[in-house]
Amino acid sequence: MSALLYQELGIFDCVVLKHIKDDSFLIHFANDNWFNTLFPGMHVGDEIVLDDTPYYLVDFLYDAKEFWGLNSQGRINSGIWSEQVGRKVLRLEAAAISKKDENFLVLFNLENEYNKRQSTLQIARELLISNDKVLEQHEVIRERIEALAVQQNNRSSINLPVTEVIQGAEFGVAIISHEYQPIEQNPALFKLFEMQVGDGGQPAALLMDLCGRQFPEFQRILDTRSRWSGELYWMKPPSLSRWMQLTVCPIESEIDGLYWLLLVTDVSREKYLQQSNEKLTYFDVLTNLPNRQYYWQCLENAIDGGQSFFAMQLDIRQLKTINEVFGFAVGDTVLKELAERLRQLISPNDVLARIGGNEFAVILREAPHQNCEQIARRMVSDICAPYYVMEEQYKCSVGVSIGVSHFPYDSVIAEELMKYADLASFTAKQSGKNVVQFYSRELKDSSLRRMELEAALRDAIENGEFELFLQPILDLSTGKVSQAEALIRWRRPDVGLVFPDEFIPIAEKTGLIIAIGKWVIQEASRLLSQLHENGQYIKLSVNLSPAQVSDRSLLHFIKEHIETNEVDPTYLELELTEGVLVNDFERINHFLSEVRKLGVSVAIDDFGTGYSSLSYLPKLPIDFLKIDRSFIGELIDSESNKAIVLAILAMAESLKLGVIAEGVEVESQKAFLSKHRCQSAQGYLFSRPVPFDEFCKLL
Amino acid sequence: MIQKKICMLGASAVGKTSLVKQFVEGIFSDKYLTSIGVKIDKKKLEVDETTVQLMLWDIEGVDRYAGFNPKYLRGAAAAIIVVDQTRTQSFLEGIEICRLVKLEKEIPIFLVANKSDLPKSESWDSAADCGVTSLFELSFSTSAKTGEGVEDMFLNVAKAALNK
Ligand SMILES: Nc1nc2c(ncn2[C@@H]2O[C@H](COP(=O)(O)OP(=O)(O)O)[C@@H](O)[C@H]2O)c(=O)[nH]1
Ligand SMILES: [Mg+2]
Repeated sequence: MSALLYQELGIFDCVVLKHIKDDSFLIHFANDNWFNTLFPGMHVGDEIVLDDTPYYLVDFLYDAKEFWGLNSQGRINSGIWSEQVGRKVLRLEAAAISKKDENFLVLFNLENEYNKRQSTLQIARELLISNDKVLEQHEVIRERIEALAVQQNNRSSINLPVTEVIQGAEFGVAIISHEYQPIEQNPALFKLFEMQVGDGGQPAALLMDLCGRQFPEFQRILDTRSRWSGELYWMKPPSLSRWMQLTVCPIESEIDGLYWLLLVTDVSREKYLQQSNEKLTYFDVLTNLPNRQYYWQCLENAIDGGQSFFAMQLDIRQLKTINEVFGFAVGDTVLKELAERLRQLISPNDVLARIGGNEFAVILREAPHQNCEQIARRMVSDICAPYYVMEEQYKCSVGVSIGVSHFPYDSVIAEELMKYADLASFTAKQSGKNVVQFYSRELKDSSLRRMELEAALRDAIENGEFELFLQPILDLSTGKVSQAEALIRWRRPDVGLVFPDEFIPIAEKTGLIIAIGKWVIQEASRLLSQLHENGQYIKLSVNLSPAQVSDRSLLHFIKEHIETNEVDPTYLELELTEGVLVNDFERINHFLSEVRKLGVSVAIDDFGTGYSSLSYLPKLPIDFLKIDRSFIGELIDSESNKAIVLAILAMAESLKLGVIAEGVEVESQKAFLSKHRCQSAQGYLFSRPVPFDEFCKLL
Repeated sequence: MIQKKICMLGASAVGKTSLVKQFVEGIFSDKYLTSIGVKIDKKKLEVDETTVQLMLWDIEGVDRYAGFNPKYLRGAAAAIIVVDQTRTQSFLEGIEICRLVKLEKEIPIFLVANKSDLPKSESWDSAADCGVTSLFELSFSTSAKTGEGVEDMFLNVAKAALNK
């Protein structure tokens, strides 16, 4: 009786088979509609043997029997399958269920669920595939252009092959200078924006403009030369609009510096497809969390609500590595679990969203007993806890940096709140640890200053704003200038003279150090040849930073400039710090030997401060040690410093190395050094670093 | 009659369903309809005077929406991993699936580069030429659209399934 009622209500769209033994079942209940299609001629109360068809169901019996054997409660499912019977296709799923010593096999007709799932997945998969294709094409072009940029060794900037590569591309490609001026724009790009080549339109500029307006973090991406990809919306009134997928990559060319490569594909079709499905419009299918679009809305709503809250942005690191090492499936599992861990930490009133491939965002409402900082720290520790993947066989982990902005104190505009959280999270990331960073005015100011400095530094190379100052080094036995150290200064327009400790660390971080270091070598060679011309044969030493030593083209560069300036290489010296030496012994050893073959000499800078020097010193081809200024400064009053200096002098003598004492400021220091047969000294006692002209007068 | 279970595996939309359709019914459709779950088709073949019935398990594409379910491999005599030569990513995913199959079971695995009627993706050769072919019993190039190579591929798989 009840069964009939259920059936009428449509709840019981199933077939219930009671297990008798082996492969035999009693038909306990059946929905007539499709039961007869599946088992023609059978009726409720009949016995049925499942030993051949339906194949999938028969296969599932292995699992079912195993499950029944466990005598446990609950059920297991077979997973959905399609059963073709003649022309009809049934969408079915089976479950094995135990109830009071009786075992049942229940078949469900999942026609509706199947259709729903198929329509969502259909779109999701088409999107995934087209996205793969777009990124793949972008990647191919990017690699080619990058390769060309590196190969370029003549001065003709972006040259013919690049044009050839991009002209025929099916999607839009633009190359712009670091001042955002277009260098190349291919025909497909003009077409995307409904422009004609040659009619004066500037699609690349339009593109940059759109990015700036639609992505709060875009300026930061440019300022920090990051790679980025995202979707843009472009509208041309009255009726034309397009969705575009854009990839932005910085391209470093050794000669011409930085370019930007922009790759754009029209993804309108995919986007409209996505929008035809509500779930896909607002949710990320993988994690089931709100997506970026939905997050914006939530943020706007939260602002309208007026109650104070925190906007958090979480950047997940090392996901790419996981994808590369373990494959996407594992990367996705990690993401899902990560989302789940985060969900546990926030309350149902808060919002957790996935706003990018490796970015999550949270709107955390301020409540009496909620402390945002504590929660953020919990997030860091929970996210960083290991993930066990591939049947728990492997362990992997990710890192995170969290940036937080505070409504209404930091801003009352959604765009700014996101921008500030992004900036804070980027700052956290820069520090390299798993940290939480709150946005503040100072953060903005200091990052602005940093970015300005960085931008100015780039221009400085081009505009020739650097200058080499020379600090004389005296031969203590004769009292004459025997050599000089070249020290870089930056004559920054409107600011004045900037010292290296202010800009070299930034140059090192941004990679500009390579270019700057080369300029130093080039300029030193030029100065040397001038000295030669004046009949002054004085050695010049230049400082090398660790990054330069790893630059494989450096050796060739030095050689080239020695030759073009016709200088005697024995008058050039390279200074390296101890740290560089121990990093990669084999490589350094090779490098220094090659340098020596050119006739150039090598000095160890800041000697004595670093590592256990004795172990590597005898093995390396070096000529001079420069005793660090810290030992000289307190030489007279500190017995231990005296001892160290004496030890260095003795060691140098036994290794037949020359010694230069740095930072000599008073007569007593000079006297001590002379007495103990230190050959050379440098310091304010003799002269500060001075411009070349002044230096010449000292000779 | 001998029955042999063969699993069709691979990323979504590489042509698993199309290959089975072409082989079993001789038809092809350009329209893509994503598969959900499993569908089993059968087809009889003569291999050196033995009749074998292939049970072809067409399994939902392994991607971020559907994981790899090792249970499906139970009783399988061979696995066919289909990749789409217009999409390099599908090759990488195929390799990953191959690894997962090997973890589970020792059966012959065949690599099928489908859609040979279309041009290869630009990065295909550099990705495919990385020595992974040794993971596979044999590799084939097919087109479910024109039927090129399809029959021959299934025949070879049947032979391997029969240990011939
Ligand atoms: N040109 C071409 N298209 C194919 C070929 N095989 C499959 N397709 C198309 O690729 C899409 C996906 O095919 P399908 O068999 O559903 O892939 P599955 O997800 O692996 O089962 C469909 O649009 C097919 O028409 C082929 O050999 N050549
Ligand atoms: Mg399919």
